[in-house]
Amino acid sequence: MRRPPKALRAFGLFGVGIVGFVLSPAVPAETPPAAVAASETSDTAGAALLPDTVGGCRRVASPHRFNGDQLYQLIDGGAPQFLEKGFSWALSGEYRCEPGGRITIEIYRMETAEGSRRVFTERQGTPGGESGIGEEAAVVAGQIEFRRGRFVVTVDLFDQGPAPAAAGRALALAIDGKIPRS
Amino acid sequence: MACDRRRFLECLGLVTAAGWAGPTVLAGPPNPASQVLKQSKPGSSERLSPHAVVKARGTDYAAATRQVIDRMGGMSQFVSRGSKVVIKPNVGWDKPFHFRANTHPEIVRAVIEMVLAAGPASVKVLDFPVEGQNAKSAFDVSGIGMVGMKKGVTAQPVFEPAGFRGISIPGAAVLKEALVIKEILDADVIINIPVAKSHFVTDYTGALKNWMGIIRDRGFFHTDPEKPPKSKQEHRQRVARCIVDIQQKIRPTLSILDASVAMLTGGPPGPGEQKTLNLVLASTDPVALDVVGIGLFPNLALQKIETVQYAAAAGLGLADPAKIPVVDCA
Repeated sequence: MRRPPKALRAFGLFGVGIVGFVLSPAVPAETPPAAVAASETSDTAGAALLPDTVGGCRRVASPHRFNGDQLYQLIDGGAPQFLEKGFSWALSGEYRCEPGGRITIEIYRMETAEGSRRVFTERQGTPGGESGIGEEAAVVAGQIEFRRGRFVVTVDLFDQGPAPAAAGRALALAIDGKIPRS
Repeated sequence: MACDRRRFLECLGLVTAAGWAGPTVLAGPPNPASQVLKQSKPGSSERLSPHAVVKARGTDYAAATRQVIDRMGGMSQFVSRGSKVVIKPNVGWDKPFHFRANTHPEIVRAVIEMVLAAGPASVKVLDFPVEGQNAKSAFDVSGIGMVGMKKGVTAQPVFEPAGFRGISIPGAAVLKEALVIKEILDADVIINIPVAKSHFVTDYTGALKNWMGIIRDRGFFHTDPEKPPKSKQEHRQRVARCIVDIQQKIRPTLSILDASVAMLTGGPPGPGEQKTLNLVLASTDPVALDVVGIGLFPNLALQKIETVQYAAAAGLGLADPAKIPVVDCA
């Protein structure tokens, strides 16, 4: 896969890492109105799935919650994939990791475990492999996606390499550990 | 890779019929297939169909972009001195760069440079990212915020309500009113730069679907709270109808497709299965461009993609692959 040119990669590391870090306190002010409204309805149980810190990672903004048709605001055309299988709500969150860079999380809570299994299988094409995360998981360059119970979780890594991969795995394990066992 | 004069003339020999539409338009009627305008490329009296799709390949995406635009007669065919230009890439997603959910920045960079050389009054690179995404971050991680850092260019997301203006769409099937990015409405020239991706609802997102990004109230594309779609098929049809409705009111002057990497599955956010194609394609006919783009996806069936079928039925372009001239620089 073609990578961006050297200057762009440098910007990606510096601009996204440093500038993004500096600007991160302003994230709530930039948040689209719909997401702000969604966060106002966050329930404590959902938000608790996203810990404040995990190892070298710290959460840099309040989780945003999306209910029902609000899911279009989070993933636009990806929403029906969840909605048609019994969707309850979703949370999004963002972390800065030292080392590991920027990592974003999306947690989808389905009405049933069968719903989450169907979503996961459809998204991944095949049942997930063994990774020690969740009941099944798919780990590819730049993303960890796993499923446990009614939950499907995606962990997106904005930087590549061993450090982001380790930070992402630590976050995935921490979130997995907070998902209620049925 | 080089597209020199000799190759240019050879390629033109492949082109069928008609002429060049030249700068198309906001809110104008569709160009009839019979419309013939002379291509005014210096040194050439050859003509291109307004439905022609020009393509170039290579790993230097900026060079490939210049090739296709040069083949179409140069950016001055579309951008007049003193005109207000809006460039509309897909910057919908605050996702890692390698997911390829957004238009490649080198293509946008090349377009900006060509537009600036044509002497416009203003150049704005705009998109309304998916609402729940971090809009400013989307411009950063995509690299498009950076390539827009040029004198005389503004590159930024539009997400504040004040950035949109209401329009009515007489004759629309579904989308009778919409809030549209104001700069789009005020522009003389709009350059649409989608990225070729799969899409869970519409199967394919390219030139037609990218136009959804100029609308604020996109939730209405998916559902009407008072009359929600009863099936997946109804949902697909509704989205496609809305996309065609807005295209009937506001049309790009030129569309350039980023097919450097096709997101075959997992769209629109990705990552999904990717296929490196190293292609850049362009046309003044967004329907024809989508037809050729869809042809790059072995897992898609053109006949099942409502956006293209509805747009062709509305007279917005050609959907018959056999009638679309494809001009290849190779």
